[in-house]
Amino acid sequence: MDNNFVTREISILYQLISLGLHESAYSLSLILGKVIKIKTPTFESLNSANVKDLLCQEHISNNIVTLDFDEKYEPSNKDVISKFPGQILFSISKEQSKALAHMYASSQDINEEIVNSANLEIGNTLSAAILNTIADKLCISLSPALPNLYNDIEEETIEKIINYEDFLKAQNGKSIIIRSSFIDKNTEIEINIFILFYKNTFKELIERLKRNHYS
Amino acid sequence: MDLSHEEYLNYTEIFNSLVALGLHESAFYLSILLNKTIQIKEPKIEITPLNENLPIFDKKDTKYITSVLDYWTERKGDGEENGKGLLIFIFSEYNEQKLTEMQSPLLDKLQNCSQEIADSIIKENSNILSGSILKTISNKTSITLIASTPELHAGKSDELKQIIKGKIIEDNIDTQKSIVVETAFIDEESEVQLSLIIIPGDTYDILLNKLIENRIY
Repeated sequence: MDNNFVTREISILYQLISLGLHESAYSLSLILGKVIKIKTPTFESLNSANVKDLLCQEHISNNIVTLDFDEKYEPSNKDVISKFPGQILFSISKEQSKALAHMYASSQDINEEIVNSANLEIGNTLSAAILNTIADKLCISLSPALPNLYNDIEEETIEKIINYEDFLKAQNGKSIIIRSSFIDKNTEIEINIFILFYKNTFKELIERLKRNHYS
Repeated sequence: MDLSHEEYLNYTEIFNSLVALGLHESAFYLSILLNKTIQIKEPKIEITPLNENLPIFDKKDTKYITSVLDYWTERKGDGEENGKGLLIFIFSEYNEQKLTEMQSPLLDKLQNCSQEIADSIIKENSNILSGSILKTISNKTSITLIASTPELHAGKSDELKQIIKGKIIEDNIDTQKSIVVETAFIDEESEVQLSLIIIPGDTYDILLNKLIENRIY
């Protein structure tokens, strides 16, 4: 497979991610006891080299939740074969973070701790839903690590946040940027999700899609 | 259930969002099967008592095709049947033709697509749609749902109303909480409108109560 995205398979992958977003909205609805909908997402694919620029230009002042994922995420065990390594970044503006906390906590008294906690929870819910959906449909296992929240990042720290060295080294390093919104009766909250595929993860997933469904 | 009226209504809407989730899943399966991207238009879902004026068959002179499936809830373990509902998919004749064009890869060669192929496509879609919706609800409520094979009926709105009415009476299903869904399949070239009526009967309370039980507080 060359470095170009394979149109048909990538389109299926987008559908899977979209399905995951709908799943996350359902999970949030169940957690919050009110209907949360997801706006039809838009997708953009980027080569690894361009991710840092985009993050620096558009997301530097945002709150960013990151978590690593892999087939089985066991950071203590270096012997585990890393088959589908990658990372998810959930990026949300500070203003939208507060709105998210209000949606989440249904309280007027929102402090920084609640905002941070809501960001982490939503980042976790979104990532779990997306990874579960992809894993379920491709008959693989994808496990997320614990999330980390970064509030006021600087350009230099972005490389540390996104395991940039690993990412640039990846032969088929790809990333997908998803833009969408959570919608409830009173609010629409814009969210951005980056999925970074390390090593051969993207190639492997596409191969799985081909093998599982087109053979 | 220890819920306020407003909270209960919220859960009925959350139940609707499960139906929407199932529809999105069916679009994914269709994309895989047809080897092209099929999407589902954001569905409009309403819970309403089903009366004589079925909202779907709005044009008296138009011919419609309906696909009707029964479904049951089944208790895990004892296998006892404890609830029955109906799923009714409705396409106008025009949309059946568009669906056939969208989903029959051989159509260019066949020019005149036979009614048999068109019916088969409607049945296949009913199976995929009902399978996805019921599987999604089943997964989230941990209640097994089993569907029958689809029965096709074609005719003008008055004829189909009578058929559906007969089916409701035969199965003795309560129509007070019927879920009416309007959506469409979309690909790059066309949009195929479809309507769905879910008459959950006594399965509604079984499934909704389970959903409320499973809530995360």
